[in-house]
Amino acid sequence: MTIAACYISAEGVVLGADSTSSVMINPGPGLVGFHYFNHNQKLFELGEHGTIGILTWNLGGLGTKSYRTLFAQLADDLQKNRPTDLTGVATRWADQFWKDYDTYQLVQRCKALAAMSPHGQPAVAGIGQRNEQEENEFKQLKEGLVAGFCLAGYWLPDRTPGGFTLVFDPLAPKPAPQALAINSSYAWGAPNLFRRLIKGIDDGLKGDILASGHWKGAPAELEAIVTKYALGHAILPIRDAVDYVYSCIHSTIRAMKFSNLFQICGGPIELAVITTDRNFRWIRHKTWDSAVNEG
Amino acid sequence: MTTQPKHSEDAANPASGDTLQQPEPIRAMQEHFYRTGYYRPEDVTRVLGNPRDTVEVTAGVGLPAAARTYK
Repeated sequence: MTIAACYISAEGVVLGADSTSSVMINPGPGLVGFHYFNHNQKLFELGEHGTIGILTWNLGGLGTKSYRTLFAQLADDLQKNRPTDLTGVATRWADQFWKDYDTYQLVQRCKALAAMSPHGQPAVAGIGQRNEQEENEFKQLKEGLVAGFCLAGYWLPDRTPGGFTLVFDPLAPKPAPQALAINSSYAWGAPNLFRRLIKGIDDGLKGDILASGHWKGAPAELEAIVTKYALGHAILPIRDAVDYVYSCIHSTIRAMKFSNLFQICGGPIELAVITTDRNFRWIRHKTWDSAVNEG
Repeated sequence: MTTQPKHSEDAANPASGDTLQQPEPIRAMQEHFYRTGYYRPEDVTRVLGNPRDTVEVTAGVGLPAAARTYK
């Protein structure tokens, strides 16, 4: 589970992510579990001496194709055939990644399972029905294969900072890049924890209150109550935006650490900034021997 | 002078915070994890949220509109 965050400022863009990756293991017949590694990289510089950073969350790669390689291939392509703006860069990534994602073996498996009728419900004539094991597999794949990306920075000759988010879903068509707004922060991966911190409530809890039968008012009235308790943030200078992005990730990691769940995020927090007057710069970046030093 | 409630008193109070007496949805979530080695997707989504979601907070906007999410 990734915790990723971004701040789009008039001075530039700040990106941050944790470093823990979860790998499913099969220690024996019928057994499954997760092994956690704390030195994965989820924040990348696009190309060398570039002006764009990329965050990734949820799906960690496409088996034999790593994001590192795919981003390098994207950088090669952008150099050969330069788009005119940041939107073009994001669209190029959507097109490139979609080709590999849609043909990825596990995505194909998910689609095949989706075409069957659900386990535990009346069978549908003419199509197969998922058994219990396939139903569990389908539920895992449907969520685990969601791949999220944030591309942010600027694209010369335009130094205006901006960003786009792209979320690939195994059961949805190729996504279009969604633009991010200036003077805004964004968080992905474990959105509920961040929502609770900033808004005081998450959408699931709001939905449960409305569906409980005990709330007699309109949804808008509940919304009016909860927004009284929401925090916002001022327009931040870039270094304070760095602190903000770090704090979003750090507080989520700590919330998980002290919870009754396994710590599925953590490790070193990586941070990068792309100010409008400079290229991509690492603020905090793991050394290549960080896993060795962990012991 | 205060006294600590006994575990038997906590049994009827799921909000006591005693880790031995967790609310049923939490207990079921943990039981599934220890039995199978993974959390149920619905538990992960309920606690952590949907990986498709973005949490956006826009600066300099009135508080009621300052925090919103979109899918």
